[in-house]
Amino acid sequence: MYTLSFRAMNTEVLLALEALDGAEAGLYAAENFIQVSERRFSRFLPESELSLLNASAGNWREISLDLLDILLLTRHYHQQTQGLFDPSILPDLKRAGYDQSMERIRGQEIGAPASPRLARPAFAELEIDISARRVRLPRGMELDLGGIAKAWIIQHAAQLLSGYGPACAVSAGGDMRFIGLPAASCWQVEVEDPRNPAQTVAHFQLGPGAVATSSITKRRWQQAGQPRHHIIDPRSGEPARAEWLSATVLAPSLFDAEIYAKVLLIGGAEQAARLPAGLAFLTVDENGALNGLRYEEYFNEFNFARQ
Amino acid sequence: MKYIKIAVRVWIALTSVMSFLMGWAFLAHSPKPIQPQDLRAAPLPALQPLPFENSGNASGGFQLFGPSRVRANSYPMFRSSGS
Repeated sequence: MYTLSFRAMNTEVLLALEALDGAEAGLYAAENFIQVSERRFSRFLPESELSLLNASAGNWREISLDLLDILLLTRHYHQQTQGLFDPSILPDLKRAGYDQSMERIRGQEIGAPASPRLARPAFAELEIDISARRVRLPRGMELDLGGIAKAWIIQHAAQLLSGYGPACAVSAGGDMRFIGLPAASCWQVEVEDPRNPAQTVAHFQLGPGAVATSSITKRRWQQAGQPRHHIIDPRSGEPARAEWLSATVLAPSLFDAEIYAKVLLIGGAEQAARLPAGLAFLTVDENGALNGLRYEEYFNEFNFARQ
Repeated sequence: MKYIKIAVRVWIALTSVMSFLMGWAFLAHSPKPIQPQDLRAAPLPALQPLPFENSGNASGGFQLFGPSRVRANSYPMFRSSGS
């Protein structure tokens, strides 16, 4: 197994590839793909494809096939989650103080919002013309594709890597995608304790599939003396009053894992009861208690160990 | 006519001799070229050996731009830390 680690998408990325030949070429190709894709879908870069789309709100704009793919996924999950997954909360996120990259926000004193919350267009008003490959955002809409774009990049980087060997993995922060099985028989995954990053709350041995963790302790800041985080509840436009500090979802699809990890933090136990079949989850609350569903028997052809 | 021929021959002979002497004087005062013993005294730069095609990396290829960052790791541990 060969590995390559580097920093991208504001987190540590780890690529792993089992291959007899060409491992290095595959790993560097995947690294390049991730770095180029990050620049395309970042909302913090004014020349990114996403920023140009946001700037064109009110008008039709031709977009790339990749961005079209992400937007179609976004629309699908918005409908699946009854609106709890909503990438058009960007104005609310900015109002809560997250208007620049997290490295810049940390350690800054952010004042209260200057203006009250304004009504914004519903995400369902987004128009997509698939045949002409163009999109029209209603005037006043801004998209933040953060989590789902990250999942898309990881998924495609893993597919790219799988062309170089029978087993590969791509991990970026909380999200990871595994393809095939390594010679060591399974993939080893630890889940970080959201109360103390140096500790681990669970250890999984997994087969092919995906894992995603969302946490309200990773991207935190103070706004007018109030603690804020980046998981916005689209129903209130405010940071979600989460029952748990983190939610980890195990699923065959990384998109399912990514979206439902976020939805669990927003919707809590009520949403946990509505989770689609085939998904497992594990949550950690502020006392360190673990809750979840099916996570112990998920991927049950392999051993499960809990620490 | 005879005198003219003699005068031309004398003029050619004199200018040849003068040109030869001027060239001699010019070369005698010009900087000396580098001698073989000077070349032997100059230190030669130490060159690194070229890497073998299958040395020190994962795939058998070699890195043109710096050392490889790829590592061999039998059991990589993945950490889901949240985003």
